Amino acid sequence: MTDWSNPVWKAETVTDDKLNTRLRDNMLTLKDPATDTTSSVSALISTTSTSFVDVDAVFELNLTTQGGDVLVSFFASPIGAFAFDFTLDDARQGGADGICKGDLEVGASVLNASFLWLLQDLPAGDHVIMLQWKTHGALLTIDLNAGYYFWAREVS
Amino acid sequence: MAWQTPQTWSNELVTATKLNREIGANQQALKDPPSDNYEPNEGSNYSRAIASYADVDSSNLSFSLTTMGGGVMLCFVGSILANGQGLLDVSVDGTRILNSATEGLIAVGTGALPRSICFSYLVEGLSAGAHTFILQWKPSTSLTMYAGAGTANYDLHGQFWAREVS
Repeated sequence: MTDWSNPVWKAETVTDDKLNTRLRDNMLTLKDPATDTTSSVSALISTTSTSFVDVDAVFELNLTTQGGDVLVSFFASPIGAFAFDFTLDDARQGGADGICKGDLEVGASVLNASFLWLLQDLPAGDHVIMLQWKTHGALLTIDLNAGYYFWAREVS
Repeated sequence: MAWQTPQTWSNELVTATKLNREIGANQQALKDPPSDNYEPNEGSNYSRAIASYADVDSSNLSFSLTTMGGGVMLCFVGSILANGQGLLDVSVDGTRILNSATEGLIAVGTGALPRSICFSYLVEGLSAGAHTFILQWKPSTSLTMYAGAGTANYDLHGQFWAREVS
């Protein structure tokens, strides 16, 4: 992965090193920014926790960013009353009840949960993003065979 | 920093001024495009009980971006309780995307319990300059959007954001 360098030129000799650092590497950084996604697993995962806990190690994302904004996206089809949130470097981003919440109504078997979140002005360096959940019912389950995705990507 | 259409180079002296203008400034513009976001954490939840479109929050869920010309991505995530099916839309420079009194970008189903709503939308081909983006809604009977107001079991922080992406 290449690093971003502040592209400021002054009256100076244009050298290979400068072109590679300020032009080539910056273009490559813009073309291929820091990104992480969940790996593919086949399982049912459940919780009975009524306070926010990590969903599963599968839902940990690690980014080394250049300093700027990051998009975080999640979708799944949970079975049961749910609330989802995520932590950035151990700090949860939503309210006391998270970012999104849903309830099973009579006759419903599965719900949809999703969010696309913009984190602004993260400092350059390593960051850990972890999906969290809790239930306000008896049991919350996600069938990972039924479609899910959690990803984060530096966008500036 | 504003984007400038890169020049076509031809048999000319490459100066620091040109490199900064043609490459440095444009790289900075791509690296840090116009963007804004808001996560409601209000004293009370948003509500509306008049069956016509209106701004959800004209101060906070409303952005003005000065863009470089191109596409802007919009996104909303939140939890809404609907009495009668409601609609959400976004006004772009004063005109709703689905510019019809009976249509919206997404519907919120009626029910006894709140629904988790999330949508994203790409507005394409905007001219360079200032543009406003305002989240709007229309109830059938009433809509309540949970806004981090400490409502028991519904202290939720959603997000509305807009960002130039090209």
